Amino acid sequence: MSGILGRVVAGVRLTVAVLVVACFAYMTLAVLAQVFGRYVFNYSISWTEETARYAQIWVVLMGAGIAMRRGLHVAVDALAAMLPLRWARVLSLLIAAGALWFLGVVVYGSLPLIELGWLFETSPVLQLPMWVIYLSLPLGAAYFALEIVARVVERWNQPFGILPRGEGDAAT
Amino acid sequence: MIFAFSAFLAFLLIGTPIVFVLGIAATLTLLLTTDVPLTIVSQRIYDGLNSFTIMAIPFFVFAGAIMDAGGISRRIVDFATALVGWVVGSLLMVSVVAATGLAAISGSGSADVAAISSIMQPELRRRRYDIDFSAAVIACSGSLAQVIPPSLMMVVVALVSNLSVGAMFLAGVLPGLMTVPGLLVAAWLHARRGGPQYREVEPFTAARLRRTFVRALPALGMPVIIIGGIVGGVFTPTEAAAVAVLYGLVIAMFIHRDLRVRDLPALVLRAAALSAAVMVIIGTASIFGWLVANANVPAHLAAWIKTVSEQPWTYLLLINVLLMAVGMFMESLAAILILVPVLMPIAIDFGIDPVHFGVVVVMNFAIGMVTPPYGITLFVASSIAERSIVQVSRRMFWPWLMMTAILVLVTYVPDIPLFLPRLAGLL
Repeated sequence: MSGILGRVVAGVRLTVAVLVVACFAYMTLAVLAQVFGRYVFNYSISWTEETARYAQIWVVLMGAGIAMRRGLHVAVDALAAMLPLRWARVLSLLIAAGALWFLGVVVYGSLPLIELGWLFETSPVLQLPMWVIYLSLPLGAAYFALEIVARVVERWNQPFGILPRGEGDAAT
Repeated sequence: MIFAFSAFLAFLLIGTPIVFVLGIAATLTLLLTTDVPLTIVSQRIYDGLNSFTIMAIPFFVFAGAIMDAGGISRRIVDFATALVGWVVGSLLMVSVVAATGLAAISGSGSADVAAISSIMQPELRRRRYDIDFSAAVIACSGSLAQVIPPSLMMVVVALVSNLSVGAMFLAGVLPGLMTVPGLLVAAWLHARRGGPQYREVEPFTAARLRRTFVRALPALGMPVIIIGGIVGGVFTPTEAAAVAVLYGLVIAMFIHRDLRVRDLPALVLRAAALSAAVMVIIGTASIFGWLVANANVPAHLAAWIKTVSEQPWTYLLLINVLLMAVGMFMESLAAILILVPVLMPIAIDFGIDPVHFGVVVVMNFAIGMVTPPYGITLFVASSIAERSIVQVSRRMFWPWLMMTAILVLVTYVPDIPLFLPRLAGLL
């Protein structure tokens, strides 16, 4: 990818990465504050758990796209990797279409939630407006979709199988 | 339900990422067989992720990444060398013991294997050990990270079955430690048949043991804090995992000084991406789980299995065969998220203790991590050893057999896993 499109994609990726790192750092600090508050200062902070959970939702939904870019989403692709290139391409398009359809459902299904959060729903402890958290669903799904399309394009000549460098990393 | 499973299998086999296999199959089923509004899809994903318990996953993954980057593994290897470096097959012994030590610090087998392999492989190669066998042994000992606490698989099993994470962690201790002698024996038998290079050993001295122990002490304090803290009720598993992150950062940045502040953002991003890949499956699996529970699948399946036999041991045998087969082809956490909600209620129906059953599931998938074609510790061990998966798999038989023997023992002697949780009063 090059030109304006390439720069837009790079900008989106950087923004998402900064957001995810910030939310992850917040999540860690909030839980540590909770522990230290309880034992060191003998004071229970009521809102750390709630906000950490919301930060986690943002981390996971936005992070899913980053994981796509890094080839971390596991698939049983041994069979697909044995197919001739033409059929592998057809399958990779089919998979991308299925994935985009599902993400579309997620976006569509999140709209009533966001509306609810916009109109009156607030979080139990801090009374945060809930649309701030629900917004992670459509935004995360949109970024995920972007990375799926990017992957189909980048791996057009080898849609399946683990690439030699950096892929096949896993949490377990 | 038949439709859901056919769609599931079709998308799985053409190579769709698991997160979408679950999402697409569940959404199609909702759309075609029920009149539930599609908002439930987004709602279930949100609810699945809106949990404080699963936050242990990103924290343990982050702690593993810190351990990987900081000098913790180097010091564990030095201590292991002082401890068992004098035995025939020196480097293999050290690899097994060091990987076990890291298993008690991290909940991630692939981080464990990556750390041990990068330190040991150059030395193994220089001293002309059998590289394929050594990679196989390291892959097996690293997969113990899922059996020995802290363990990501244990957290996920506890999460989907509403069990105490503390009880699950303690139940993994004895089965995990019992596997170590088995792996050491496999390595020793291999070394004894091998050439003179295996007899070149490090002399044992008490002074060296003391010195390396002191240097490894900060890292060895980690399991004490995590397990002690959870079992003693000082903190929840999620809080313990966050403390593990802080503890790891303090050691790596201020005591060992191997990690700098400017390395942190990249490390956080890697941990976030790794955990997101797992946790987004928790989101879509919870749509699937909702369908499975709605259709009463566990009860139907249990009734069907009971027409064959009503004995718990036949069910456990069936489970071992099924999970070993699944573990060969599928990523373990995804498999746990899909299968345990179905299999656990059946186990309880058969009168099997849920914690015991959870340990059996985890041990099966730990073995799944080393069995080809899909096994993550096998992948990592082979790739760092610069050997193909096929080459390493050929040497996997004996270490695999040892792990399987302990699995069989733990399956049929529930007192082994349940002894420690009972002792701690968690059961």
